[in-house]
Amino acid sequence: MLRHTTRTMRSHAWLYVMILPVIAYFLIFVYYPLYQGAASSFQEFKLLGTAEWIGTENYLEVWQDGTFWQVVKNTLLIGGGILVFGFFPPIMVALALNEAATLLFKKLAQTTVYLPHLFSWVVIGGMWIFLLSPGGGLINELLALINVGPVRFLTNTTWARATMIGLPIWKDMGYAAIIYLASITSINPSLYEAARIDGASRFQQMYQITLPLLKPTMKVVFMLNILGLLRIFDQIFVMRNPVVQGGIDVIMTYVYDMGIQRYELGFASAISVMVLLTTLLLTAIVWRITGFGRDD
Amino acid sequence: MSSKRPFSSSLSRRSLVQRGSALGAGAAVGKVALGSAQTPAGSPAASPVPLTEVDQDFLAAQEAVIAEIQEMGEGKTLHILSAVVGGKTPEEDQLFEEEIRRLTGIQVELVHPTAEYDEKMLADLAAGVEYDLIYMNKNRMDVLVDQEVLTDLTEQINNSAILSNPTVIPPEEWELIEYDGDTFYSVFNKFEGARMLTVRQDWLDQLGLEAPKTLDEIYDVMVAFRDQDPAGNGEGVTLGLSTAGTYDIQPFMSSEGIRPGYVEVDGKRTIPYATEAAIPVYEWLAKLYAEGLYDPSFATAETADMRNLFMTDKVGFVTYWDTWVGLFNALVEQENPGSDFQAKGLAAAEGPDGVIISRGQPSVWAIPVNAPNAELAFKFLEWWHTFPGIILGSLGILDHDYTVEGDTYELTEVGAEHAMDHGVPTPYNTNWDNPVGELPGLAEAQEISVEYGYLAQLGPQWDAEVVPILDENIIKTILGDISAADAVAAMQERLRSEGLID
Repeated sequence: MLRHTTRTMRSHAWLYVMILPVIAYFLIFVYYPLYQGAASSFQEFKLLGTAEWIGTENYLEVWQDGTFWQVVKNTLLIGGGILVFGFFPPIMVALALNEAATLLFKKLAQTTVYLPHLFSWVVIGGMWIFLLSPGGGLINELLALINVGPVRFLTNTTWARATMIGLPIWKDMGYAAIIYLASITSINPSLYEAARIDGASRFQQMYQITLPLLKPTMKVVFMLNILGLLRIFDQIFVMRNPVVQGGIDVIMTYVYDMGIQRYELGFASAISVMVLLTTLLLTAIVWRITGFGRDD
Repeated sequence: MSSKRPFSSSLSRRSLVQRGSALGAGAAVGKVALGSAQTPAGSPAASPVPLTEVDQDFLAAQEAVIAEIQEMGEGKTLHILSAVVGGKTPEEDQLFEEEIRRLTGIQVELVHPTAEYDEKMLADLAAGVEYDLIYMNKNRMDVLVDQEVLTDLTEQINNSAILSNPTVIPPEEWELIEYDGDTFYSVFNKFEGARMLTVRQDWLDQLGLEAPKTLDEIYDVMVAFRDQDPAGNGEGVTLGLSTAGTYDIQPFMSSEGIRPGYVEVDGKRTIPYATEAAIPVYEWLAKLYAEGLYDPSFATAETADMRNLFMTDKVGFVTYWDTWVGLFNALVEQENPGSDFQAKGLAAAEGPDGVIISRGQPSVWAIPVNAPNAELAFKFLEWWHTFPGIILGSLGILDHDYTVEGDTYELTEVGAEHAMDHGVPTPYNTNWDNPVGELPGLAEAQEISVEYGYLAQLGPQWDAEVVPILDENIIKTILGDISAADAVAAMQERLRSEGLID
């Protein structure tokens, strides 16, 4: 058996050599930093020199930290909001784009909804802070025309949470829509042709053919969203302010604050490891429930 | 330098310097020009700077340092991590490096992040990147000293003819950055000014108003700016005050004698901003907001937003650094020559303890324990406080920021834009006189800083842990979400529960 394996490996030696750079890449740039991060969660951090091993002390500290549980709650509220409310808009956009009358309009609309995804949160956040400003911001100026407001979108916790849910949905809607659109265009046209011959309306075609065949793509997008659920950071970091910080800070901004601002890297690493394990668990659960990867 | 640092410190630079000069045994003072023998050939400092009263000990030490650094720096490279020192663009950073090489012979690699400086510093140090010099403020230094990252420079500083010269850095200033009474891990970058109430003096003149001195008078002037519209924005549009969050409301807190930072009372740590004494000020600020006198976007505004509102005639008062009084005037004049715009530093509202404004935390250079060229790095710090170093940190780069003809220094267009700030707009060295002159209004503002500047006691937990608690509650009060009394109670409760006050 061993001899056979060795012989097989020798005969395909060049294939293994070709894989080596990829393996090296993952070992150096992914798994080694991951190991270092996990190791530092069991250490008392030192900037220079050897760190002291302190067992599970950092984890216990995290567990007993009230702010940690508050940011977990915020993460679930905001991340969950994005997951739930952000799931259907890209599908609707993709379906609408698919029905566009002219190619030019379709391309223009596609570019327009995709564009925000291309900008970093620094740009998008700065822009929306300005637009939502109670002093001369466009949104409040428009609301003033109908005698509403000014609304303090970013200095009232409820509004700020809603904004933190709404903006990423708006920003990334175009990206997910393109995934769905690509999936729609790969649907066999003969299915629509047969439906038309049977007298199906456009809505019936969409409901009976397009949507069911989009299910695998929906699973992929949902899975991707689950993977990002606990890792929300950019929009909160860019748009938070002291008034609403307690209500919108999420796990990763807390990791940043503890690790970078307060130099508590052991504590921050412990949270990161917990986020990693929880994400793995969540993904496994969703994988199981949705039957991801299995033929529909 | 070995005496214990007092818990509070009100600085008078001039008195310190006078005392320092008296202490400096053998300090012969006279009118002296910087001679060509003291600087590398071709250096602008080889030309005489305007004559000033220069300490002879300093001159001798300067000459020695300039000679030594040339000798030590030959063929060596200094790796410097800098936040404020350098050019304004990556291209100018390169010119800055070349200028250092021209002046000292040292090859420099300047790492000059445009944002998130502390994060960059932490990441690099944790990754083992070896720097010879790192710029930081006092708060960060506290953390790095605690982490045993910085080199003990006590002996070198004490033995330095430049740095221990009281006319270069006043002795009492050293107490601001000493540890355990007699240990130093850093050398100052520049003299730190204070933040003060700054007003549109031209609007006051236009409306025939006197400079306000109390909270009530400040309020009346703001109402006049809004209702009498000296800016021509339309009646009721001009704002009275803009700040970036609660940075910096100290000029108003002064009216109740409240000091920034920690204050020790009966051996216990207290934060006056979180005491009942602050309630009237918070109520006054809330009144400004409710009446439309306070920038409605202040809670999310950056300092750049506040500055822009001030320079574009939208607001009558801001609270900001003394240096910016001069910069406001210079920038508006450059943008709009002949403008009536005139910013003037007013200090703060007077209270039972007079005027109290916040002085900036010391900004320093430190040498990490893993620095490859620690000795050369220290020599560079000595050089940084000589005239060629100060010219580089203030005026900038020869033939880019300024030109020299004979003994006349002149800013180029680029230099005027940079407003004589390449990291050291205000050097400590009292022997130095800026050959170009000061920015309009700056000298007056700096007098105020020197007279009323109070250095708050902050500590390593201040920025990351205390400030968010104060900010949240103070801003909520100003916005009218909670009462001032509730805000103070909430601050007290959280600060105490987190062990931040006694």
